[in-house]
Parts: sequence; C-alpha cells; structure tokens
Amino acid sequence: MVELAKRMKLRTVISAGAGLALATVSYTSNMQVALYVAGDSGWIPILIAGGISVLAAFVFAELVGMFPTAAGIKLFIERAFSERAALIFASVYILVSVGVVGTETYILSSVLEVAFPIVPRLFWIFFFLGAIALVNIRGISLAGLAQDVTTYALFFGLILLSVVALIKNDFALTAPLSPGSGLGLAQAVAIGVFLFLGFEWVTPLAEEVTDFKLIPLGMFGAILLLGVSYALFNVALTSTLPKAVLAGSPVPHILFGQALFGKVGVLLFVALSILASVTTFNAGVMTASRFIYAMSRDRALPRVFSRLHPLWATPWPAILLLLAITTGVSLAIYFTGYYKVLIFLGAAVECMIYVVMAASLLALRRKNPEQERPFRAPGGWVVPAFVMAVYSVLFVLIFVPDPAHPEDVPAQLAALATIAAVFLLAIVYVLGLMPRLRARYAAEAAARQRRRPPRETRQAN
Amino acid sequence: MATSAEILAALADYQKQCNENKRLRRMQRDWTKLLHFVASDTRDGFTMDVQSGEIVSYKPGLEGTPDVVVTATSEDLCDMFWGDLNPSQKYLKGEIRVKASTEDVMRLDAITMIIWPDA
Repeated sequence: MVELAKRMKLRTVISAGAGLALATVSYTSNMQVALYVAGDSGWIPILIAGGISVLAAFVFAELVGMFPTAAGIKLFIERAFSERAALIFASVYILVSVGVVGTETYILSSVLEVAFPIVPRLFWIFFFLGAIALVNIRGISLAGLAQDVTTYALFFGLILLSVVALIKNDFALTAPLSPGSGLGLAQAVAIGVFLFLGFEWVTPLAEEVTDFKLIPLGMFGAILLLGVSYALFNVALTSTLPKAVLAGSPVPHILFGQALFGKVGVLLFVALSILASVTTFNAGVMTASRFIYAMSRDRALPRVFSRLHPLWATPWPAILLLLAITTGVSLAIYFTGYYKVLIFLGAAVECMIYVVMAASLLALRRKNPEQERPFRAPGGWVVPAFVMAVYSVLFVLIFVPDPAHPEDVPAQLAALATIAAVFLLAIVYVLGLMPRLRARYAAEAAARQRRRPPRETRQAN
Repeated sequence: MATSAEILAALADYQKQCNENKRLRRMQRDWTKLLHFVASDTRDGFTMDVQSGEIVSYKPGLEGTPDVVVTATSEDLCDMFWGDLNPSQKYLKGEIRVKASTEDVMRLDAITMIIWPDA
C-alpha cells in the first residue's frame, strides 16, 4: 500500500459525496418526489432510490478498484467499449451536471429573493455565478476539515429541523405507508435518483486515499446519510404544509421554515441553502473545469482550454466556458420558469450513466477476467444486470406523462428534447470535429523534434 | 526499457528546464512537495524534492513520505522528463498512474504544459 504524506479519512470521503449531492435544488426535487405519491409517503420512493443507488455504488466500486484514477467514468467506458463512446457519454454527463449548477444558482437566487425581497433575483444569479468563477479561478476550494465541518453541519441542521417539525406536528402523518398508484411511485423513485446525484463523484478520490476500501465505504456512507436526511425532511415537509401550497414553489424549504419558526425559520433555511450550494458549487465546477482541461490536454478540445492562470495554475478558459453555460441555463430558467426541466434531465442522465457503468463492468469482466479487482460487486453478473435493467426502466419512466401531473408534461418534453440535443451535439463533435482537431495537433507534434537523445548516441557517448 | 542512468539524465534536463522557466517558477511559487517516481517495469524508484516551485534535488531510490507518487513505465518516465510525451494523454488512458490530490495532479501536469505546450 502506498503511503502519502496527507491521509484522507473516511469522514472526508463521505462528506465529499454527500456534500455534492445535497444542494439547494435537492429541496425542490424532494418536494417533486412527494407530489408523485399519496399522503406523507414520500420517504418510501426516497429509500427505494437510495437502495438501488447502493447497487450502483457496488458497480462503481469494482470499476474504481480496477482503474483508480480521476479519469474515472471516461476511462471505464473507453476500456470497455471505445474512446469515442467514452467521450460522448462523459461529455453529456458533464454538460448536464454543469446545467444542474445553473439550476442550483437559479434556485438559490429564488431563496435569497424571498429572504431579501429588496434585492432582485437577477442580481443574485449574476452575483453567485461571478463569485463561483472568481473563487475557482483563484483556486480556492473547500477541502479536508473545512469541507467536513460544512457538510456535517448541513446534514445535522436538516435532520434536526425535520425532527423538530415532526415533534411540533405530534407525528400526525397522513397515509405514511400508502404511496398510491404504482406509476406514481415508480416515477417518484425515478425523480428520487436525482437526489443522490453526486455520491459517485467520490471515485476521483481513489488517487488520494491510501486504503481503497474507503471509496466503497464512502459511497455507502454518503447514500445512507442522504437517504435518512431526505426521508425525514420529506415527511416533515408534507406533514407541515399542504401539497397544493408546495407544488407551485421552487423554494418549498423556505415555506417550510416559515411555517415552522416564522422569519427565523426562513433565515435558518437560507443559511442551509447557502451551505448546500457552496458544497455543490465547490465540487461541481472544480471537477467539470478539470475535465475540460484534461480533454484539451488530450487534444480532444481546442488547446485554448488547457491554458492556466499564470499565478494560480487554474484552467481559467475552462472555468469561463462553464460560467457561460451555467449563466445560459440560469437565465433560461429565469425567463421561462422551467426549473423542473433540469431535475428531470439530471435524473435521466444519472440513470443513463449507471446503465452505461453497469454495461462497462460486464464488458470488462468478459474482456479482462484476470485483471486485479480489490473490490468485486457481489452476486456475479446479477448486480450489474439488475442495475442496467432497473435504471433503464427508470430512465424511460422519467419521460412518461403521468395523467395525474399534466403540469409536468412541458418540463418532461423539454428535458427529452434537451437530452437529445446534447447527445446530438456530442456525437457531431466527437465523430465529426474532434478527429480533424486531433489530426492537426498530431501533425504539429510530428513536426516537433524529439528532445530525448537517440539511444545510439547515448551509447556512443 | 530505459535504464536508471537514462532516467537520471532525463531528470537532470527536467530540473534545468523547470528551474530556468520564470513563468513556471512564478506559478508554482507556493508548491512544496516530495515526489516519488516509480518505473513499473524496472522497479526503479526516484525521489524529487520541490521547494517553492524549485526542484532542489532528485536522486535514485524512494526516500521519505511522498505527497505525490507517479507510476509509469521507464520509457514513459524518460520521455515525460525529456518533454517528448504528453503525460495527460497517458494519464487519461490509465497508463500513467498518480497517487495525489487533484490539485497536485494538476500542478504536476502544469509543469509539462508550461515548458512544452506542444508536447
């Protein structure tokens, strides 16, 4: 086992995954899950989504054990299938994740507009996006103890407030064990997948841990923490406020805070929102900008994206590109009000990536049966096959119109159109433009003289 | 397969290129790390000491507790130190393995990026 000067602990691996998954948009998604089931039974789809996330975590753990690198998802698909397939799927995944950051900015701005009505939402959008860009270009990131304290304070606060709400309501729950129609429950589980989006982002930490076991344990810990917190919050939310009140708002947790403690409750949830967004922005933008930088260094994107800031060694053109995308998404939501699109889209892409990961695992078991695996998903082919099947069904369900929720159909259609457009863009780029770019860079590299002295010369010397 | 002597010769040139590059020194001014390089095929190991962006020493053998561990074939290590190889491409294919924080992986790649942007 390689020893490193700086050791990462399990609590940091858990906080990295859980912190990225718990964002301000998670409160909105939580409400969305509750709307698809009857009464106060929203905890059921959340725990089911968490349970199948554990199976997806098994798949990730085996893959990361085989290839412990920050190149993660791209490398898994490349080894299993092809580099082109890897670039297409990884690009779609990263682009949609960046889109989620844009949605997060919009929701956080809505939260702050409620708390400080004098300041318009548009100001907060530009303020936060500008701040994210500056912080990332400056190379400031939450790490180690600071990340742990922020994340655990956030979860402790959320669990505590949910329990207090349940006590205040005398645990008076409506049909907590009756989720209603099968389609509604299945769609709630599909949307629930979005709540766990990010637990797998601990896989790049495989390079930082000295004991590989921390990666699967970290993923399981993050899923457990998320599942318990979300389930409690969901029940507390719907038992405190009628669903009709929650349905029209992108900030249900602020309404919940207000109903609980008035102005103090609003401020408490504003604080929790800011903490949640900080942990998401921190990991989301940093990881995505490093991905763009790496793609550029791999000559898959124009060279300009591998430029580094002369003082802080951060990929500033990549960060500015992300800023442009997130600003576009935030403004699109601001002008259309379609904040649910990215929830459906995020859940769909997350389902897609789990299916692709499970398929990659099965392909790699066939191609490289002898390769060393520090962790093996239990049950042979059963777990990856189950993950493929379940997430394929959930992917389809996300876009199936539910007669009980006609108001969501435009968002579902917009999400479907967006995922198709992003795929088309990725395919055109990877199959059409990228080979030309690579050919040009390869010609330049071939024209460059090798610096290493030829072996004959060195031997003669 | 590159010999230990060949890798040391490459490291000597790498040290010179890094330390003489003012832009790189400015960028890496707060980067103080102990690096281990391991040749996966020959099992040769090398230790590099970087203080405030300056490579103050390199020597054969693995000494101290490192902040960064790079594992690659001896040929890849040699080519990388001579600037004839784009380490990012090898890294993304899983052929160069690194144990370090994301920030340190980035800083390590930045060295090649700044000295040999066309590699």
